[in-house]
Amino acid sequence: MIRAEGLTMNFGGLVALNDVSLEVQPGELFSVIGPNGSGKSTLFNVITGIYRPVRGNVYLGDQQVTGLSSTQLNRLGVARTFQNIRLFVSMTVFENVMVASMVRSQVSVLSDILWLSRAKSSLKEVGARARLALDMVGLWDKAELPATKLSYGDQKRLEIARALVTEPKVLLLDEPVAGLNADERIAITQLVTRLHKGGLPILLIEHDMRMVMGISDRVMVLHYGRCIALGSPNEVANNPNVISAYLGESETEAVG
Amino acid sequence: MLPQLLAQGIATGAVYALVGLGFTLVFRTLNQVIFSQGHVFMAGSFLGYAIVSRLHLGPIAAILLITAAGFLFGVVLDRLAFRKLYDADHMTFVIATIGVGIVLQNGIRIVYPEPVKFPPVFGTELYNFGGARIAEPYFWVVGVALLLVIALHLFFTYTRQGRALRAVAADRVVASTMGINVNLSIRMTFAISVTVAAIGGLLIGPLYYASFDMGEMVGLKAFSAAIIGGINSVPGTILGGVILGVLENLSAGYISSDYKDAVAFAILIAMLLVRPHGLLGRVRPTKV
Amino acid sequence: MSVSQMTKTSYYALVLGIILLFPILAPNYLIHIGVYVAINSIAVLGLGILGGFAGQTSLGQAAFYGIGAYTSALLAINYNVPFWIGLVAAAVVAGVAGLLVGVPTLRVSGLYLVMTTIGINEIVWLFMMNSTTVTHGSQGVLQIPPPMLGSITVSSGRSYYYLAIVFLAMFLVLTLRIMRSRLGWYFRALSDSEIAASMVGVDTVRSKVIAFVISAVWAGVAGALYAHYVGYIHPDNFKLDVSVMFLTMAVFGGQRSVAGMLLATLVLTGSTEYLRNIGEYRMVAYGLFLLWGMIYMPNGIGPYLDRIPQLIGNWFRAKSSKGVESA
Repeated sequence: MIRAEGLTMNFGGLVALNDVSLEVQPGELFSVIGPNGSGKSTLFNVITGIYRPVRGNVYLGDQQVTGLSSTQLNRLGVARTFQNIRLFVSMTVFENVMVASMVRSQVSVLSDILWLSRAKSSLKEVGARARLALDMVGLWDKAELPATKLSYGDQKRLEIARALVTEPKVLLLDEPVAGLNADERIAITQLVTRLHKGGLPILLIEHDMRMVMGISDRVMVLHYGRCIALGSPNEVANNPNVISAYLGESETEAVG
Repeated sequence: MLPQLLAQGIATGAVYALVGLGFTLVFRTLNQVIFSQGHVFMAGSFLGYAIVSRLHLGPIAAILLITAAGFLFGVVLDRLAFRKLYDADHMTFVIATIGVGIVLQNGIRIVYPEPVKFPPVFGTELYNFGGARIAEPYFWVVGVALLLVIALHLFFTYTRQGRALRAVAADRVVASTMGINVNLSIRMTFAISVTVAAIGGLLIGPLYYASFDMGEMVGLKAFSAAIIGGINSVPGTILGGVILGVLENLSAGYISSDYKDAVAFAILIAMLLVRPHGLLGRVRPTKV
Repeated sequence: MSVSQMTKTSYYALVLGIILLFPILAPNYLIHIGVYVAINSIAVLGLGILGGFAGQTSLGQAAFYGIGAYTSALLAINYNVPFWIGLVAAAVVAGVAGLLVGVPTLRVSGLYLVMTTIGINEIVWLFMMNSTTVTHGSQGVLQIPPPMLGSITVSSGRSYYYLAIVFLAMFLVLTLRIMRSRLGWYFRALSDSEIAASMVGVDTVRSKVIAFVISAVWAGVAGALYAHYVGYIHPDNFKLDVSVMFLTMAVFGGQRSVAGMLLATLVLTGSTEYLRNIGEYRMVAYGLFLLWGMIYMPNGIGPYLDRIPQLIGNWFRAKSSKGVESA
């Protein structure tokens, strides 16, 4: 589905990613874990076109997509959420998703400005898709609220809805439960599980080990930019390299 | 002709560097641009003129007085105006500092509607240097600028307050958790920026003349110099200033003086297109 | 109709009435200012689309204003091109210039774009000043003919005012349509978060360029209107401080509020004209006003304006309920 081979990324003198490879199979939920600074976000940023890797390639299906812009990648089917939430702060909940839905409809700018009937009917479709996405994450009842008025947990949901409405072939979730209380954590985990069961391939970054081990098909562990383990949750949890890497970190990282 | 042009270029460049330093320091600390720098430079020039011609003080005294005045003005500006604007929209900050510039320019214009010629504060000797005869003031300009830069470097590297300013520039939040008084540091940054620009004005005055409208162009060029050299980098700004001053004067001498100003902006635009972080600047990767 | 709808409609009707009746009742020098307000508004609306929506700051608006002015003026002087065609040419040339500038520079953002547009402004001014063959250099272009409407010459303040108002109305409608279209939403998204916008498929680079070209075209049209009104243009009419003036009007207006921008243009054009050649003291006051405005009204006057119909409605409601109580 989505494949990365030998990704390497430098920032100045710092090697953030060192020859990282992974593959997300159709319908798979693949998680990437690792201590802070291990390169997880950089990995996402490379896959989603924010950075160009120094070495290595990314493939979507059979197509090589290394170095394409975020815009192009999204149009090819890659969607993501952000660890530091990046909502459209001047818009309502509905509008946040609506904009993303608008990109999907094939209406020319000119007919939109001249307000031709094609533009009007397409707007209905746009709205319907947005509603569907908001329903899926359970935010339809808050559609008219300004996005900034949502609780932190709801904001994370909104990001997911916005990513979903772009009809992705693969969904990348960047720490979807970080900073949430226990109830919200469970709710989002359930949402992610539902999406997974629906067949959507998901690539997930997280710290919360319990969540990750509970729902993932496969797990990869990054440490200082390098992959130190890859396999089923059980294999990884019992891998001595992984255990020592995490024990090397402060205790707060150990178990979610 | 070449040594003369070079001398002019380095002197002008030194002044661009000083004024540009003000931009760089504030930009590094607040990620904002103070569009008032050019007019501060001009005000410093007139203040210097007043000190020298009315009070009949020598160059050293003038420099010290301007330093004090600059510091005071920077603190006042921060206290009365900028303090509320630290985190404002970039455009808001730009317009606010443009307002400050307008006040300075017209305020000075009220007192000095005509350009003034400085008395020869920095002496009238001509020295032989590298086969050319170069007037004494040029040495003062470059000398004082050099001393200032060294002083600043020592301040930022070896004093506690200086290191605090650097910490605030690197990361305000972290600095405050380390117990640094962030607001005081920002205030000091403004004060230093204003002061170096004002001193720049004093230095250039005797070389040419002072007029109320000279701030705008100098400000723009100093800003260009900062960007060319790297607006995140102090040595970069200095380098940018000198390069700009020299290239400008060389092209005025050898090509045409009409388009002299275009040189600065052409280089600026070229730099922005090819390497926006400047010659010595470092790219700050986006945190996502 | 509800009370608030009625007050809103009558509010707009009142404003429209004032605008239309103004030249009949007002003295000539005020009509003159009115023409400038209308012309400036078009340029400011362009900046509003670029800044308030696409989130990019341009300090180069005067350059495109000048390009539009020179295009139309030179076509009229050299080739007897009528105003109406000259206007279209001005829009096209300014737009192409905007494209040429926009495509390479919109890869850099924010502060760097501001600097680039400043540089462009300066270079365009230098070109205008020094290329004597094309632009007549520091002489400027003289005797630019006024527009002809059939056999009527539109040269008096009053008639030009109506002409300018008609164009302002056209561009106002166009601006509102753009703001409410998909493009307007893409602009808003990219202004809120460029990274997130591109991550949902918005072509941010293309959108930024389009916004920039729009601002250039709006400025070009305003420039042509200006040239044929004053009849004489000179490079100093298009210096950096003119760009600053346009930007100030846009920011003071609150860049997503059309009403705010129009009002800010009215107030600031009026005071700039009043202050022209008059005094450094007043300019000092103007500078302080800018500073004060940015400290206390960083979002411009737009947000306050949008509440006025509501406030008036509330006031009426309060009055009528008092009447009931005392009855």
